[in-house]
Amino acid sequence: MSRDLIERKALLLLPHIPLLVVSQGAEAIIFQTSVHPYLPQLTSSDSIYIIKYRPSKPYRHPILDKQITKHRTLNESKLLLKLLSLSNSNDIINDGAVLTPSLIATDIPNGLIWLQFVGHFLNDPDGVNQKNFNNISSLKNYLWSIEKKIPLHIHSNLKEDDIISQSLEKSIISINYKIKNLLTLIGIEIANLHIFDICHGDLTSSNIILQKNSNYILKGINIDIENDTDTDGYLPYLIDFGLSFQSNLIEDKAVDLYLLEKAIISTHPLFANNYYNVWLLNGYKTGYQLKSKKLNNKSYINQHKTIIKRLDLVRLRGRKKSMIG
Amino acid sequence: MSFNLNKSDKSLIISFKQFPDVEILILLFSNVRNSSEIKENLLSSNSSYNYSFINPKNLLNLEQLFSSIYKTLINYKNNEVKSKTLNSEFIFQLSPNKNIFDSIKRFGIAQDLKDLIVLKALNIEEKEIDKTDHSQPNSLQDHYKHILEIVDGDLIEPNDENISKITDLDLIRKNYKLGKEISTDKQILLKELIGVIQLKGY
Ligand SMILES: Nc1ncnc2c1ncn2[C@@H]1O[C@H](COP(=O)(O)OP(=O)(O)OP(=O)(O)O)[C@@H](O)[C@H]1O
Repeated sequence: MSRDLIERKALLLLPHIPLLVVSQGAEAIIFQTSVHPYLPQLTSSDSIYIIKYRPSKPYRHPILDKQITKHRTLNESKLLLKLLSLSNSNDIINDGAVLTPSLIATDIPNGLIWLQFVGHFLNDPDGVNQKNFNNISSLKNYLWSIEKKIPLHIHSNLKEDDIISQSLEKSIISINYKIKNLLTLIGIEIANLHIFDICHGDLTSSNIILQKNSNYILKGINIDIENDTDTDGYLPYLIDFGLSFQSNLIEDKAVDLYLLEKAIISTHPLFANNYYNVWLLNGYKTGYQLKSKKLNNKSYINQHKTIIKRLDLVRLRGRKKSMIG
Repeated sequence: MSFNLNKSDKSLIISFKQFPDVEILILLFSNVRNSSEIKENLLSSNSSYNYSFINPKNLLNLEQLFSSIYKTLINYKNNEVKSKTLNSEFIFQLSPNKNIFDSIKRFGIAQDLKDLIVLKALNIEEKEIDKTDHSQPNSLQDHYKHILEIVDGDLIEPNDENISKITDLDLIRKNYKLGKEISTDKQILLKELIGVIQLKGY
């Protein structure tokens, strides 16, 4: 269906709401708007709200189409609410929270969800701040912006899976201990998600959005983190629960991790295997350790071990598949 | 959304962008002395009590109320109003419960209730109500006056500060079935209540 037609459909459902397309996926279109559905306009009017719209598909049987739209919209909203009610604070480390955009409004039968906007817009390489979703503070854009600062000759000498020389590693890491801390925190957050028995289903570095929060520091945990326990003042929010589901199966959790690993490898090939994925998995382990400590229950440590063992198998399966395919 | 708080007559009139014709009058009372009388009139379907009488103890602030009003209008647009009248639907949509009777009991007026919100939506057609009845007030002004006649209590400004003094967190925990682990962070609790309201019925 053409974007034009989808936009016209959306306008019929949302009369008088200014809509700007942010992105269009296979299933949903994302709009931004400056208007809150039921609160007075703030005087400082650069507020942003997100509308996720799953339009009806003309090629599907109308009744089936309605059911599918309703089912998927409901699935995503319910999981967002579930995570909100499982997280009693914003504290990923001490309370095992998972941060997500909050649900503002829904029109379930018509496939609409209004969400809190999270994140902000990063500066261009030239330092210009364009309020463009291409510059949204996703983990991907944030990592890219830092990767770009690494001198070009180093990039060209790097190959995938290269072990970076120790001195170079030192310089990268010392600029980027913040990345390490941040990825550790994200790993913990994903562990929290899995401890709630929820799998994201589409973990990528664009589905993690960093929100400025200068008050939050990685305090009170005993993880292998540089002495400056800073994440650049960022808190990671998980978005896009369109493919998420509840599950307590080891396999589902391992696959969730595997997909993230693959996604990180394809968007950050130079640093994925030796750095980013290692840090994420370390954080993931820490998440289970924290939970185990908090509840004084060793079974979380065992769960983590089983998931990682399964992850090895899933990787192996993946490699075989790609060799055959 | 338009938000008109009239400080001198302590009335709030709101209207949402998506439903520009619908105007909603909101009044807040404290020290109500005739709750049981109001309730009796509602039970006997006295047609001059054509308002939503809402228990504000269940509210953290206006945003929570607005969220449920919005949801009611969305349901109305989608032809998914579940209770007999819009008045009761506004109450019903505040409640997480699927049982209309029980929801009205918990979120509507109770016999000894001292604090009260009265709500009236204008320019929205009741699907089952006889529109030929011209004895009813029909302007915002008329309704305002009429509500003051019906409710024997002190009109106070319907704002977040006044509502927060009425909020009963224990009641909220019970009525929204939040269990013991209720968030002490009001902002998070509000988001949760709004989420529950937005997904009510599903
Ligand atoms: N709550 C939000 N705050 C800020 N930006 C958001 C939010 N939700 C979505 N976005 C932006 O919109 C993009 C697409 O959103 P989302 O991933 O939910 O939609 P999708 O259709 O499932 O995407 P895809 O099909 O590409 O996975 C995100 O990458 C992000 O840039």
